[in-house]
Order: sequence, then structure tokens, then C-alpha cells
Amino acid sequence: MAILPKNFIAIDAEITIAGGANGVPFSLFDPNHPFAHQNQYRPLPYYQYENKFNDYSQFNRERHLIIEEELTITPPPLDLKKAFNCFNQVQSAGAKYSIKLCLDVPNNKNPLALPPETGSQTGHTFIVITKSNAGKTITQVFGFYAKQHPGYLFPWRAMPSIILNNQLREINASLEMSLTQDQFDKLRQKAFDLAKNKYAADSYNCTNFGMDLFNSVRIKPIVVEKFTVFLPVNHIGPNLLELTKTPQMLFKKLKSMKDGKDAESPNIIIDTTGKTKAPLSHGECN
Amino acid sequence: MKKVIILIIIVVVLSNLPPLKWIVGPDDILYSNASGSFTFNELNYAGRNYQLCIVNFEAFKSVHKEDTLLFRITPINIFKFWRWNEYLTNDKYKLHYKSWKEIETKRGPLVNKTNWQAF
Repeated sequence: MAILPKNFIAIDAEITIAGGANGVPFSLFDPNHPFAHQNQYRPLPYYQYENKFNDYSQFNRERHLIIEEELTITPPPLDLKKAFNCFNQVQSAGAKYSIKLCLDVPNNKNPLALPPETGSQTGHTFIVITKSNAGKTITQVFGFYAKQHPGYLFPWRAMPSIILNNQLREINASLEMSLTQDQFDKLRQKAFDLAKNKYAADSYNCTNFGMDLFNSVRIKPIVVEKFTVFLPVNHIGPNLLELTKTPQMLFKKLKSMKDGKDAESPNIIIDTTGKTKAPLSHGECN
Repeated sequence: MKKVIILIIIVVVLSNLPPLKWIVGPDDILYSNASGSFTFNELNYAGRNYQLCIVNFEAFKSVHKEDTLLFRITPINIFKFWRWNEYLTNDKYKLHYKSWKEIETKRGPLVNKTNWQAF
């Protein structure tokens, strides 16, 4: 036990000074530091070169720099054939089928607006298909995307598309309808065919895919107005882009159907609170 | 020399602010847990973003009690100066980085994706 002279106070202090090899200081102890990690087996870290408190023999520490390697993977699409295979797990005789056309607008407070950062938040339209029988239900939730950001210089160009799982995506408006088995079979083939299309922001986007699929099994198709957007930072080509189908105009249509007491209004949900989410999807099956 | 430095600073600052920031577009990155049983890819232009990834990962955690740490598998590229602001302020870049090679080697090839896997 140390005997302290009178008028002295004992202070138990941890000192942390970290320096990089090139003298540039960086914190090795930030748990979220992108380039450096330290595995240490003591309650509190401290670290200082040539410091009398630094005793390597006492602690088992490993320091290493993390090299963030260039990543070269392209996520594959949801395999729609495999996704539809999962519906085979539910017995078809007497099964109930339904399809729901869903949309998520980028600005819940102003559902008909496209935010100024045009192209960054376009909103999304997607499909929920459900088959249920004898207490067993399979649901698949999917939507159509461009494989990457369409860009600002040529936002209307056709580009490779991808189908992705859209489970738990926010739903601001939806319209649900039930299907017969024949309609379901037709829908399955139509989904495969439409998924082959290229993505084009103005002429074939997620809303075109969703509405085309939904309308393929309807007698009275849903029709929406065109949507003209201004591209503030586009310097090549026209600054006005006319989109044939959009989540914004689909929202307007579904809301007018709901407000106008359309025969299908009980099957329409409008919710701009952000609380309504798409159900869990099922994944792929052989 | 002083003018060059000032010019560089102006370019860096402007490239990190709208509207130049909008021209380069959002940085779509990828996420995974350590075993690759949860994977997610962003497509920010259509709202498939970090927030949606977190919503999905929280749901994943509610049914999986193990392997519940989310990693960023897309590296930060320090030379992309137009993303410096995002690198410093966006929560998604505060996630630990983990090498996808390492995760994929452990997981092996994917036959059928579960609903928690984008790749």
C-alpha cells in the first residue's frame, strides 16, 4: 500500500494517446474506425509508445490495420421461378390467391411530389402475392429495379433490370384483389416475361412493371396520368422528363378511388404515416 | 501554391454539397452479417436504403438469436473525395467493415436465397 504525503490526492487515470505510423494521430480505440481495429483483453484501453505505463507483457493485444478491399460482386436478382416454386408448398385444390399492388412515395407529407434530389428518391411500386390453404400461407413480395442508379446525364436510358425482394417496405397505398387459380397461373407467366424487360425511368420503371402485372389479371385495368418532372441538374438533353407511370400518380389514382367510394375502395389502403409495411417474403425454393 | 490549395479545398467542399453531390448520386453499398445468412444491397434511388436494411435486420434479429452483428462489406474509398462528407456523417459508414471474401468462404455457394438474403 502506497503512503501518500500530506496534501496529495491519488488519481487513477487512463491515458489514451494514439499515433499512426506516419505520425498522423488516429484513434485506435474508436470501435467504428474504418481502417484500424484492436482486439484487447482488458477493461479499458490505453496506448502510448514509450510510455512508462505501457506494459505489453501484461495485456494480450492484437492491433492490425484493416485493408478495405475493392468489392466486385453484383447481387443477383430474386429468381422469380424459384420464388413461385414456393407456392407449390401450399395445396392448390381449394387454395385462395391474392395480389396486392403496393407503392411507397418518397415524401409522405406530399405524396405527389418528387424531392429536389430527383433520382435519389423516386419512390417504389411493388407486388405482394399470397396463396393460402388449410392454415398454410406463402407470400412473395417483389419489385422491379434498375440494377444501378440510372444517373443524371441520361436518366431515361434503358438499362439492365433486377427483381428484388421487397419485404418490410413501407406501403403508402395499396389495392388488393383475389385471384382464381387460372389467373394465378397467367400471372406467374406474365411475371417471368415482364422481368425480362430493361429498366427505363420514363417508359419502363417499377410502376410500369407492377401495374402491367396487376392489370394482366384484371378486366378493368388501372390507368394513371403521366408525370412530368424537372431535372434541375441535367445539362444534356431535355430538362423535362415525362414518366409514363409513377408511384405518385398511382397514389393519386388509388386515393381518388378510395375517396370516390369506388366499388374496390374496401380493398384500398391509404396510409402516409409510414406504419404500414409489406409482409415478410418467403425466399426461393427448388 | 496557396491558390492551388484553396482551389482544391473549394472543389472538395463543393463536390460534397448539392447540387454536385446529387450529380454523382448516392453510394449504394452492401451489408452482411458474419455468416452471410443476412445480406442486403442498397438501391438508394428507389428508397432501398440503409433505413430499410435496418428494418430488415431488426426483423432478422427477432427470429435469429445468433450472428446479430451487421457489417458493411463495401469498402470506403478514401480517394473518392466527393464522398468524404458522407463517410464522416452517414451512419452506414460507421458500421464495421468485413471482407466479403471471408464471409463467402465461410458460407459457401448459395443455392436458394432465404428472404433475408439479397446475394
